[in-house]
Amino acid sequence: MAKDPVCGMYVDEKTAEFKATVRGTTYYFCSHSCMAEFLAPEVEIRKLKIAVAMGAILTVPIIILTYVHLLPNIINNYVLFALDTPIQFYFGLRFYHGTYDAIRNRMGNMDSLIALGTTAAWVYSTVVTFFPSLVSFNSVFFDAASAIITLILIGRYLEHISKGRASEAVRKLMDLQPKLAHVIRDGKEVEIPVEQIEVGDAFLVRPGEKVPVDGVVTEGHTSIDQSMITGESIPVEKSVGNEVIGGTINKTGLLKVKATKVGQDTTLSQIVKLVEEAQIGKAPIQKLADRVAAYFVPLVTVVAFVSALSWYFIGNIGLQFSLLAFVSVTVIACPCALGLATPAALLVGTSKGAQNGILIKGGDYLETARKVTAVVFDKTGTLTIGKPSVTDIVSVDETGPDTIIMLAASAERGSEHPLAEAIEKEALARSLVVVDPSEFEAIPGKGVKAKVQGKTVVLGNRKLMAEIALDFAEIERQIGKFEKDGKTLMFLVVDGGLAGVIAVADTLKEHAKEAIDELKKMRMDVIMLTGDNERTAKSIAEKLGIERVFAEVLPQQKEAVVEKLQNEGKIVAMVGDGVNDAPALAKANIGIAIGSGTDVAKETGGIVLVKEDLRDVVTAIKLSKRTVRKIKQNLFWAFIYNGVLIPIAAGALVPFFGAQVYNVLPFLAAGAMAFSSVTVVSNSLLLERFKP
Amino acid sequence: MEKPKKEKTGEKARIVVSVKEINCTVCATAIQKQVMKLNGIDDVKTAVMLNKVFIDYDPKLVDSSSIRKAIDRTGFKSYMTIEKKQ
Repeated sequence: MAKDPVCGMYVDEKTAEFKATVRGTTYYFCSHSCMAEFLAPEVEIRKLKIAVAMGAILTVPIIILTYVHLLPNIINNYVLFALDTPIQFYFGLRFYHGTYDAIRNRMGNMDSLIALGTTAAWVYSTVVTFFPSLVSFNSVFFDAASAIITLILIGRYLEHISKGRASEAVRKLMDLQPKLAHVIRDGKEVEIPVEQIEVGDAFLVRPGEKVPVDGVVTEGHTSIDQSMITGESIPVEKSVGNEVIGGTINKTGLLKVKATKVGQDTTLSQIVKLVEEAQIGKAPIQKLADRVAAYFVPLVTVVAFVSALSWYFIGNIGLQFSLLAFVSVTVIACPCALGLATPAALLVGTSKGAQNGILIKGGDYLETARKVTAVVFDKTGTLTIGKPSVTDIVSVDETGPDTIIMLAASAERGSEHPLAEAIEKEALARSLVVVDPSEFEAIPGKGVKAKVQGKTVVLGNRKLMAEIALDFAEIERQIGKFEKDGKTLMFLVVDGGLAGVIAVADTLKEHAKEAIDELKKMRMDVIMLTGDNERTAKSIAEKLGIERVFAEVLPQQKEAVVEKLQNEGKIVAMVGDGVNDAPALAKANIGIAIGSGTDVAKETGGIVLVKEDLRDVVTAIKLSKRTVRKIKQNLFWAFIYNGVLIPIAAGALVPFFGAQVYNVLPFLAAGAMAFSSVTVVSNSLLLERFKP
Repeated sequence: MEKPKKEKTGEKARIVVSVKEINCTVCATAIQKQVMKLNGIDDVKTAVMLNKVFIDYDPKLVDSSSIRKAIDRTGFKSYMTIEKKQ
């Protein structure tokens, strides 16, 4: 079954009468009208293509006949009229349609300017052709009229293609979701469209298949390629209890998954939604451009009239050149490039980010991220993993690290203390066999006492050691250093003798140091913020090379610290987890939520990082800088096209080159117009080359 | 001409309408003006690059089909709508 993309009805692919393939994907429709509606833009583009081709075929002879005198003058004009009229009123009909809409909406648009300019040229030339006695000078401008329309049509066509390429990234994201899923209903496997999966449904994903929606693994073990969603290049191991993301590829094993998020709630849908909505959250830079664009059409119409009238009455350059001045100005003036400058770069930039697991929620965030001077990191869970793990094992007698861990893990078995978890994880990592203790006694706040494999094992802190009066002067220097580093120590006593010491600490995330070095290289102030004690904070900060640390900050004070930094004149980016650090993230000039995983939508913060990788903070800032630079380049080009060329079209060059310059200006104007939007969009596409 | 006073019931919904070829922001303002005339419209935003119009409206005061009709009145053809949860 497939879903009709227009009305949402389900259609059987095998019997479907109406289907269409658009960009490699086949769609099925319930009726002809749904299909026609869906294909509307495709039909439109085909029409445009035909218009461009026909326009070019007719325009070439028009230009040849205008400049190379092959035919007698009297016949020549009639031939030109015959060639140009279909361009003006058939292939150029869209401009009249647009003008009609513009009049109905009581506002100018680009179509009305093109229609106005070319109609003026056509009417004048037609009068010259049929009533040559009415005008003193009998050359015609069919060449200008036809060339303008053809060039503008070429421009539209190219713009359509480049816009399509720019929005391809978003479409590619949406196409990641498979169309069908294998759901288990009443104990039997059935194939249903992805849209019909409900929360709680169990479904199967075979090796090589894509995960249809977000869910939790209930059976099986596999590695999954998540690169398309998170940008991680290495496949991720998944087993029972792990979350899988819709759209990712199952590489090796068969999985049974319970659906947790479907439809609009899936990570993929949320990412697409964020990228799309970033387009409508307007950047301040764009608001200005839009305001200028809104006044453009009326303003340009006035400039066109004024320049034509002044050249005719004051400049005395004659009717035909005055008319060409009018045509040139109207044609050159579409503010399209100005209107596309920001959204085009923004779309390519944010899509590029999304492909790498960096979600930028809007143009305003991008503009702020670019200006950041200080990056504040939350410590626990952001710079560090957030869960303690075993960092050092000191073997005092001949017991050896493996046995120390085995005995400690066995003694702690059943305890849910975070330190016990750290030891258990270490035992698992060393693939040790952990046994059940035959006796077990917890000593609250101090440790445990147990019997493991016939041995009396005591695992506890310094307090407990003091109680059993054990002396460890020999290793005092070594363990003193651990404590200075903010590590927690656990002493293992076997049958009354000290066997070893286990040091446990929260460890740094893998790429934390690299990320911070890179930020410093970018001349940013790097600051750490934590609720932890001074000693632990300092030791972590030292390892990372962070000089400024705010320790022992209560969660509700984090916001105030951000404010303090802002008062120092810094533009602050706060990096933390989106839930616990939400107020600080909101207070900062830009909040960067890290490691959202599948909870993309819940996150506060203008930038959401899907992965836990801190290097993405650097990438996000770099991408922002690059995108804003593109926006500025685009605005510069748009300004050249719209701002600088208007005075030229209005006659700024006439004093230098004479009125003859108007023999070329209309062509130049149309050419500039045709390529202005394409320039801006193509320039934006260069952002595709951005590499994190 | 006096503007009709905007009513409010507090309900919120968003509709995303795909429109064929929005060439530029100037054209987009026509859509904006036309849709804003309807009662119960909170906000109209256009995404030129996506050829989409995002409309926040009050579903108790106006429905999606009248929004679509308003867009079609501007000469742009709307061809696909997706309703989004808020």
